[in-house]
Amino acid sequence: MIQLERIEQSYGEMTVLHDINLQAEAGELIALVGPSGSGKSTLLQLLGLLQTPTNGAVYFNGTCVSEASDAERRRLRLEEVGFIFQESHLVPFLTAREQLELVAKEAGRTVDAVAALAMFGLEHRKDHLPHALSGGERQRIAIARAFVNDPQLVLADEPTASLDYTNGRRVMELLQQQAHESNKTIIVITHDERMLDVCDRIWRIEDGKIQTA
Amino acid sequence: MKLGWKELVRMKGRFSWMTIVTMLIVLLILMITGLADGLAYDNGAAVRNLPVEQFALSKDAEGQLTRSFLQADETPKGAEALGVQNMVLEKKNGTKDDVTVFALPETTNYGPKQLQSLQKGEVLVDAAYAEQRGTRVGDTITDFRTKKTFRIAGTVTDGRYSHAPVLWMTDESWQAWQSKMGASYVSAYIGQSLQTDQAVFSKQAVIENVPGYAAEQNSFQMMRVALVVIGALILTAFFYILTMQKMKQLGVLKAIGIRTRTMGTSLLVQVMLLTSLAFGVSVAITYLTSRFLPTDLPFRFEWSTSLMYGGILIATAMLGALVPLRMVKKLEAADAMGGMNG
Repeated sequence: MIQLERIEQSYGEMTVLHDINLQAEAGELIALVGPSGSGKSTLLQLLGLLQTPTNGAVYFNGTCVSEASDAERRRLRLEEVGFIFQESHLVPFLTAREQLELVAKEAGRTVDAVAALAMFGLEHRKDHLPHALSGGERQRIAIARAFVNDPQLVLADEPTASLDYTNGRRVMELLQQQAHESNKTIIVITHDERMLDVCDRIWRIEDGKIQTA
Repeated sequence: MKLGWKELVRMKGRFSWMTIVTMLIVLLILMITGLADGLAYDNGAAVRNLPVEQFALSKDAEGQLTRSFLQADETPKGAEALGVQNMVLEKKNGTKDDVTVFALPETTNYGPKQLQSLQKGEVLVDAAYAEQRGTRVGDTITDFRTKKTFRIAGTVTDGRYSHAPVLWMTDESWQAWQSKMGASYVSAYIGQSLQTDQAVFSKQAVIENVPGYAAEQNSFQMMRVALVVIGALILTAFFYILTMQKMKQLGVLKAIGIRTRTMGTSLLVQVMLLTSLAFGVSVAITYLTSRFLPTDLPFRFEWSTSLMYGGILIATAMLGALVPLRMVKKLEAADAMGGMNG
């Protein structure tokens, strides 16, 4: 589904990623783990088409997208990639359902935002603004937003970091369920070893190199 | 579009603040402009209200009516002889007032219509002056130099020259007054197209030569330009900061694939609504002020100048909001976000 081929990423003198070759398939929940500064966030940004690699190629369903235009990469991000950040990063002045509708509308789709929220147990929060919600609820809305355009790939950067264990676990199980039942590729950066058992595969990265498991 | 509107409605506190500050800036500019225009108008009103194109003055007068001396019997055909001279009024309580006498023939086509019914020794005074001094029709006034007395027969509006009230009389009264001072001059020949070997000035040139007019207007022009420039800079900076504060939010939106255009439209809608509202309120306040200010405070509200300044300020405010958006467009989506670092 998504494939990285001989990826190298440097910022000036500093090389963050060396010769990365990875491939992820549909229906997989993959954990990306490694110490701070190991390059995992950079790797996630490359996977999410937020950056172009210094060298190497990114293939999305067999098409090379690392050379695509800004506009084309933006369209792919909107329609085929879902993002979940460490903080929920919701738009502060939109209600839960409007968060979802904004993203759907931008992609020219009409969605039943309330039904989408219901999938994450949030239908009773549809008209709440982010500041009136708990951290766990906000993060689940962010997840609902990431899935609203039915993307093939979902990327999450420590989605459980700001949550307690129970809420964090719930989020990870939601992601697992989405990967398996909706046949999506989901890649999650996590520091929390207790979450790794729900993942199908683990990519370990250290000093910009993938450690073979 | 809806996005921008929702933010305005749900972040009322912040946006009300910004509207009030914007409104105060615009109000300051409009008020100063109103005072400058009021003074400009006040200064030359009696001349401005004469429906003629040309003024012939003596060559050494340099366009100044009170310095020009011409012979009444040399008035060209189709023109009227205008007399303009300062008079010091002596009041019953011993104080004095400066006024400017304007005189035209009683058959005039150009002066106030009431001139036609004035008797010799009767005058018309500026309505605002009459109101301030409690002077009424039927009162008499005395010229300090000649001790000649005149009877007030009526009032004229906007009768001002060089910030002093104007006293209108007929040329018959004028000649009688002048002969008391041992003179027999008039100040200008006025008409639409003059055939004369005197120096001919346009009405605007005569107004600009009213004593003090040019100096006063130059100062005001400086103030106006400075105010508009400063106001525009403040508004630009203001809306620039507004967008900069939202950079992280805009970066996240860019990352999840929202078009820069969608964000730009929302920003523009906000700035447009906010500045238009502020501008509308300022215009309304300025307009009401112009209606209810006391008559001795010269103030003029001009739609054209107000709209022009409003246009300039709204345009610069939008510019301020959109400049940071260019940065969002140029940013790699990842850099703007911050949340994915680490």
